[in-house]
Amino acid sequence: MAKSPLKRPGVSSRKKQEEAKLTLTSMMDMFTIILVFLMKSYSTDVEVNVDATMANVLPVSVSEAKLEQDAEAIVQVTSSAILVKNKKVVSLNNFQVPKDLLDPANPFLITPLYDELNNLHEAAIRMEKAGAIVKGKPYKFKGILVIKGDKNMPSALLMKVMYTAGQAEFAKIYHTAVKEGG
Amino acid sequence: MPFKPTARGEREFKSQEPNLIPIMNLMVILIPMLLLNYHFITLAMLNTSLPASGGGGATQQKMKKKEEKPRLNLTITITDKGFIIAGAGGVLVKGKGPTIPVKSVAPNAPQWKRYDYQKLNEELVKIKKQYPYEQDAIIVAEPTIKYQTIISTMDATRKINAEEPKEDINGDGKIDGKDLILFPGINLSPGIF
Repeated sequence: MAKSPLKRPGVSSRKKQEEAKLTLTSMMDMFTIILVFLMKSYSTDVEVNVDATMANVLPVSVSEAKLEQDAEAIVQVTSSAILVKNKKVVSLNNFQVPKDLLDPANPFLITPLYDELNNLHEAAIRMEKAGAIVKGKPYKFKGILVIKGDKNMPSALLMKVMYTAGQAEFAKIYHTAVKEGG
Repeated sequence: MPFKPTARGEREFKSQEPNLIPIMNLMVILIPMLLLNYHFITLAMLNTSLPASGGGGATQQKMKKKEEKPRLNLTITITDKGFIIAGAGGVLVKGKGPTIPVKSVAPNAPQWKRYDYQKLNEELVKIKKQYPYEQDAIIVAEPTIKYQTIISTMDATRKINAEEPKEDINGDGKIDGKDLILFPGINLSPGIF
């Protein structure tokens, strides 16, 4: 860089520079407040995963019941698909089950969903027989199924899903909803 | 040799700033972790059971106990015209049509806003007064009824919604506002239409 013509040649251009300091105190204050707030709201519950898109379509309820922690199967019903443990099992056409996926002898039974749930049931029974230990206790199949359904789902489809679950030995059915005002 | 009094006063104390870098590191890791775990929505659960096809020993015993008293078999049917409340004795009739007809709302309002859950709740409170031991209710829905309507009906069937219930209808001495239980054992059943 060219020297400034205004500077006298004898004077050194190097000024004693003060070390720049970051004032971290205010940032620390902020961080501490956020940390305390987040720690307070931290819960160790195993959350049934709900992404933002699903939260908009879940029904609203005033129920105070806690989330079911021991769900053995989670069935998600959207307008276009039925998913079991996040795996697409049945394709729907605006909540309509294609006729070929229903059991011809029983129009309430959704065959692919039954197969998937039955596999889960059989796997659970094998675990039970093998004496598996879950959370410090001998594992026992309880037949708990959680439904995460679109609030626009017609009851015809809900009944089919519940009936199919019942056939696959899942008798305790929980419905997921967003807590009103929560 | 002792210090001269003047020399002692000239000693400079430099203020030492604490080294905040390790704490900052900790914060930078902890805050994103906790933020990821933060629940922006609170979820609730509603349990239902399927109508039992065959009972175990415990269920049968329970049934026997209950059968000593007249069973109500309370059924709430959700139709597109409103709620129909029925029991073992017959259907609760109020004028023509369903027991609690739908409200008149804007035509483009969602289906679940058309139903009068508050009135349903009030009717169920009256029924509970006559059958305080009854715990179960069956909800039957027409095939076109939406999931949200069923969930809201379940909410109205489970508990008293009134802000301040004046009477202790359960006989358990609890009048603490929102926690008075009506019919918590809900069976969902497909309707035959």
